Amino acid sequence: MANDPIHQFVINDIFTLGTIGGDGTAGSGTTIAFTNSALFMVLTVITISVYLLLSTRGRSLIPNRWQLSSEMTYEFVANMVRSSAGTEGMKFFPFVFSLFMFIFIGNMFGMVPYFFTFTSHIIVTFALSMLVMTVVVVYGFLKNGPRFLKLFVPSGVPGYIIPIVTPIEVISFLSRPISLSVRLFGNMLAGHITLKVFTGFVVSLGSLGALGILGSVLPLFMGVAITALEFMVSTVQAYVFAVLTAMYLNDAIHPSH
Amino acid sequence: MVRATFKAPFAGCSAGDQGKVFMAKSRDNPEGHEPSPSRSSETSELAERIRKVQEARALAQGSEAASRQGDMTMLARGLRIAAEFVAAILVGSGIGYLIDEVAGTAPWALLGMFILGFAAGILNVIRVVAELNTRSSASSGDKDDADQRRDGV
Repeated sequence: MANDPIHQFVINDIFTLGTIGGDGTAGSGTTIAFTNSALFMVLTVITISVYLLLSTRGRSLIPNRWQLSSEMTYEFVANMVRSSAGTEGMKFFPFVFSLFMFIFIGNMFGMVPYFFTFTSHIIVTFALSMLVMTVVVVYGFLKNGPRFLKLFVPSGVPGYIIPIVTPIEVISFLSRPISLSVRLFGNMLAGHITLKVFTGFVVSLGSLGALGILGSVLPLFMGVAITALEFMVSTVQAYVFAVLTAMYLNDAIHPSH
Repeated sequence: MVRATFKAPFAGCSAGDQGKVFMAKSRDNPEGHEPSPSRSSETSELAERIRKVQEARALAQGSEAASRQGDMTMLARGLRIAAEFVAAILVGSGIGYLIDEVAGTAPWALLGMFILGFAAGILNVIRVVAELNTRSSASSGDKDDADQRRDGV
């Protein structure tokens, strides 16, 4: 059905790579396939690589527009990491920059008609946020050892409150990957459904004759406005994800509130 | 960015290094239109004009960026606070449910952890709001905002 707002999120297998598990009979086990979601992830990575490689090829002192744009992206993310995690956090710059570019270009790909938005699937965003939390926990323990656990014991709290505060802090910490992934996923999913529903109204109303065509002007304007809003949301969410990554990394570097 | 806008005028200048020397001279005494060669006064005048345009542009860009960021964070702010709050409750309830499953104490661990999750959600919201406030007051330098925050929290 053309007017189904959920249809755009359907995952199709492009080709299968094989199955794991199962008892050997047909239809059992989990099929590993190269899906349209994976295709757009690969396309995103290729786009980013080609853009950065080509734009920095000249490396002239006076940059042309392409070089300038990639330098501005670099400085934008570098300033963000520096202000959130300090100069020490700059060792995580490649990580944050990759995440930012991956989400940003993925969101932008989602704005192209008929393209698949892989950030609108919670498993993708959850995997990204679990990657962030794994880096935070592993690096935090490697660098600080058991002192990393100070993160859960706020300084300046009297001893008899610690049994109450620590579980709250632990839950607060565990909720980070959830909120990080749900925010990106929710924004992209809701935005794309809204866009589809409003532009679907244009077609439905337009088929109702002259009065309908007149009425379909309103959702058309709405569709244009929501498209602009979606471009903004795509940028903001990539930015927010990167900022929060930098802030959580800051916790791993300096584990005291 | 600054480097590019600063360098671009020089790139067009055919005089090259010579032009830079004249500009450096003119910056030392901005009024000094040296009377000797007409070319030097021309370049110093040009440098003066470039400097003025750059200042104006920097000012305009600064205010524009500040207002745009304010707009962007207003939308992101609400969504962020909501996500932080809900996520903590979900995680708390989930842990409680798992404890119940393992220990067979249903529904007490779920109830207890739900309340703890609620508390963690409030904590998350307080942290997010405090952090957003410091960032917005740092970027805009709004004195009233900072005062309100100090009184409120």
